[in-house]
Amino acid sequence: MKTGKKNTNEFEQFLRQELGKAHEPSPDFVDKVMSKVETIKIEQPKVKYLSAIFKVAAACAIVISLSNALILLSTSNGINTVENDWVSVYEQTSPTNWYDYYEDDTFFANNQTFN
Amino acid sequence: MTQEKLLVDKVINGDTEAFRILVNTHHKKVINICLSYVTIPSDAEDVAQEVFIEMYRSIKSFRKEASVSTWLYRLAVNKSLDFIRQSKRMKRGSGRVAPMEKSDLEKLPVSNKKLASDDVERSERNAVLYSAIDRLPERQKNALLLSHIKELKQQEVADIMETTISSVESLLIRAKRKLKELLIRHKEEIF
Repeated sequence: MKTGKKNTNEFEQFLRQELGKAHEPSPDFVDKVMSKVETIKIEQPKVKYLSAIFKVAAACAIVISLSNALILLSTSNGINTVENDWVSVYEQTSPTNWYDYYEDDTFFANNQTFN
Repeated sequence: MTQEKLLVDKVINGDTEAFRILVNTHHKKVINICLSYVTIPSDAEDVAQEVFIEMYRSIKSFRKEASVSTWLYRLAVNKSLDFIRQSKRMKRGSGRVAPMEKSDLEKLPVSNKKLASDDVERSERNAVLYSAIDRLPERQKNALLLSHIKELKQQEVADIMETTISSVESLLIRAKRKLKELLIRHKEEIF
């Protein structure tokens, strides 16, 4: 028990000795900092906000132009051509298309019913 | 409003003399915080210079409800950690303390062999200690290093770490326990 406590104290002392170093700063430290600081200009808030506004405006412009482009693309695809919608449904996929309807047999069959 | 916050206001309005007063008040503590991380005095002063320049640049973002000193000391810890990361990346070596080279040994201000061997032994011991500290989790490392700076009060350490005094204490206990283990393991590896 005593040995453990002694070891802990020794360890504490060792840490204090190694880590608790105090350093006296070089005498011209403050002057060095000040000479560097004097070359820096503090960013003015107006300029800061202006650049932020420009960034937001640019982002909005990009979003608007992209959405416009998307709208244009989608409308140009939606214009009815000969091959689309109704024509394609009846002429290409439906088994009861207009050709079948006007076939002679169909009319023949129709005549038969009339008779 | 405290005196320091008035000085901050003056700095924001372009008064560099007010900034000089702030630097004069805090530079010793800032340098000692940096020194506890980077270990080489000249490096610590360089990092401390960067801390003050960063402070000046970002003084407008300073929140008035916080304390100037806490903000500054936190900045010092972060800059020191950045410095360590950078130097590690450059060296890809052992950690904060580089092993002593022959040229460094020759520079030691000693007049006889006994003193030279004492200094070498001390620097080696120091290197082993710092490489062990380097392996601690970051919060434990911060608690250990900051609590050994004489100029910093317990509350200041807690404020820098954004926690309470009691949690700093528990971090400290865990850090010391782990450090002891690491050092014993290191000793066993050598002998």
